[in-house]
Amino acid sequence: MSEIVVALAGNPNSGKTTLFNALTGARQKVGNWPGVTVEKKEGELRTNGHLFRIVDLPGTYSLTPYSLEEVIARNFILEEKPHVILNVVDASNLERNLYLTVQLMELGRPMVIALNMIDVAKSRGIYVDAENLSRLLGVPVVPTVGTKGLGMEDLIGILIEVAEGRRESRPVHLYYGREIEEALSELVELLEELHLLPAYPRRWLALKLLEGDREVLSRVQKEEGAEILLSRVREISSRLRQIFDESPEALIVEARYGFISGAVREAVRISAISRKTFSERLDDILTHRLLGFPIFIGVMYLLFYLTFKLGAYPVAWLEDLLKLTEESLRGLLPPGLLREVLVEGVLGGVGGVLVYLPNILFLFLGISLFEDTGYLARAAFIMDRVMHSLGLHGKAFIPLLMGFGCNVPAIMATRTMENPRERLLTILINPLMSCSARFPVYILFAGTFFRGHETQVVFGLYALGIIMAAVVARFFGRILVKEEDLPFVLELPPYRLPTLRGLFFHVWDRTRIYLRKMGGVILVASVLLWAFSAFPRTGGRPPELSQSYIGKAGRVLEPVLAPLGFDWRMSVALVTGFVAKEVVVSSLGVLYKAGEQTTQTLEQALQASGLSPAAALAFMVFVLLYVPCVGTLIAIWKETGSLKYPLINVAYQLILAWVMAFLVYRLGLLWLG
Amino acid sequence: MGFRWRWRWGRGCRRREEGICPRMENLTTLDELRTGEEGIIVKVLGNGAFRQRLLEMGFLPGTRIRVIRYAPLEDPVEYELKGYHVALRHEEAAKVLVEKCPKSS
Repeated sequence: MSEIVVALAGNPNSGKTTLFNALTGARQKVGNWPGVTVEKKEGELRTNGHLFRIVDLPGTYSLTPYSLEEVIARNFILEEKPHVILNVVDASNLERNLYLTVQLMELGRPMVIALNMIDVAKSRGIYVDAENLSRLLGVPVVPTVGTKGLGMEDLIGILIEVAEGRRESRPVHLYYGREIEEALSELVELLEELHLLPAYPRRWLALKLLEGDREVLSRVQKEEGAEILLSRVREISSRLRQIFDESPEALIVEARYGFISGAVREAVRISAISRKTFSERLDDILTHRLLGFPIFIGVMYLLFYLTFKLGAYPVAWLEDLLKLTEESLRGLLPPGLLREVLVEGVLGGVGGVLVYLPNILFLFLGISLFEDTGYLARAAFIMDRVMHSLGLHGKAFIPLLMGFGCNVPAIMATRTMENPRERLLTILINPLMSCSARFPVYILFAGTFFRGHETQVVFGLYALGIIMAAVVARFFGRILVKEEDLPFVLELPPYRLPTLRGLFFHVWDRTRIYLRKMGGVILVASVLLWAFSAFPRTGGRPPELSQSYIGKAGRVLEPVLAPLGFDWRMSVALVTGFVAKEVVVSSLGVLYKAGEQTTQTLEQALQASGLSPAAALAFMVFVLLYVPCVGTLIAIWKETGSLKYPLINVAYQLILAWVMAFLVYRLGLLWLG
Repeated sequence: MGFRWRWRWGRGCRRREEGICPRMENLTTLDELRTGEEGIIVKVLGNGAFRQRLLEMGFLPGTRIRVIRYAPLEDPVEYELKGYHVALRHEEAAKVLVEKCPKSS
């Protein structure tokens, strides 16, 4: 059975993912492109004797090397030479979608166009003549409706025919006008003569040289004899500039759009429907100047309500199940190391994370709904002003908001952001959003030392987190490799009714990654951390927490934390909080000998310990800002594809936490006494 | 002299069947247009990746563009061009020269 490699390319919002799912079903592999943080998806399709390997390229508007996604997409086609390019084109937004098509046509591979969303186009009075379009472009065009699976068989049939060479797919050469064409043929000849980069299509190379494509230029520079070529390119460019008073790259864009509007004129018939579409009328309300904001806040509130209130029921069931498992394990196994590992290490660690799976599912469902309906783009539209003041994109808002629930799904939600730099920035500051696991610590300390002022204290902590996030975002925004100044261009696609299938895939995708990638490492991490708290043994029995390795680590740290007003017990509790922030409270319970670990008695114990309110406030600030929990660190690692970033997070957060807690403690001593 | 451009006389609204507006009387930048107003793009200023990206998104001389709405916090602004909707920030829209069409149509 021969394998046919298909590169799936298309604009964002063209229905590419839906088509990918319709073609490959559940046989998908998700990973990252080598060395970068961009997600790579591959799927398989078997039909009568053919095996397809479909590679989902990042959704892009163009193939200029200004963004990582575009470089990835282009290099995959040029270097891996897929048998066929499958270009998904939104029929209801043909003109702009064809811009990518024209660029793909220049890469010299056979191509098939899936003319997608013809149902949407028809409902808007746009009729595309697929045959005519196919004739004009020189490649087969298959009408499809990805959401309903229409046209898939035709598409597969034609892909096979093209891959086997039984059907012609010879993309036409665009005519760029006399002057540019002359320049192109001269450069092609020169490339031939100098025998430069023979693996690449000649005409494409010549075009890229004229465009001043950074990536291609730097490649050519490494070759022998490049100087002759490059000086010729410079001459030609400046001549063109003189003739047209315009840069060659802009002329090329204009020529492409010129070709496209010619093709659209011939192949598209628009029956005049000028009334507002349903989507536009919906937007009149949802992004209304006055109503837009309240509705948005309402929608966000609903998301969290669903996540936490509705999610609470299955969480309770899971907790019961966990307890049952724990009891039966205790019953089945004899007391000893194995039982301790299973019950306290595995169940305590993994179970503790697994319990929140229903919450996370609801969050994922909400995000998928926003994405699939098109509301996510509106949320970015509404919030961009606020986010922009932090140097972030409007799309950063939702992941940051989700961080107040749990940082792990929030970091995964940054996948909705296209710009890798802004995505990284959003990931790095996400742990500063005070997740719900930190809340018990605030309740304990604010309730003990600031009775009657809990609201102000807790509110102040959340606000401090947000302010710190803003400061850190600006700081890192300056350090991070600055990409060339790209404009903020946010497409607002028409609202779409999500399909159950699409939603299912979306949620399943995220959940699968969450479970598989988090599950394994969390298991290892929690067993390790358990071991640190259960060893060294004293007479075959687990030591007291203060005598365990973790306890010792806490004591070692004590001098470092003493300037903040923390005693050794608080230091130990902070170390254990590395597993999960809520553990800080239970550790304090054990350490202050508060018997049953209930908050009530712990409060009294804390008060009796002679801790000052200033130190209590500093402690809360420290818990807010210090290291992310293990799960969050793993999420950062997996999502950025590099160990560097979790380490950066640990480092900057520790420094930030120490400095802020120190300031709070010292100022607190002055004011609170 | 901040920037240089050549007027593209032939590309005004007049050449398009759908719009009639006087030539070059109403030259302004895109961020100056109010909700519901229309213009014809004359030129995208700026350079490098910024300009290239806008051109690629269809912000070409001669293209008709309409202001759909301002975001609740005034920035960004939603536009319609080439049959699709896109939002730009003010600072970006300020680099797009347009010829404003009278509101009558």
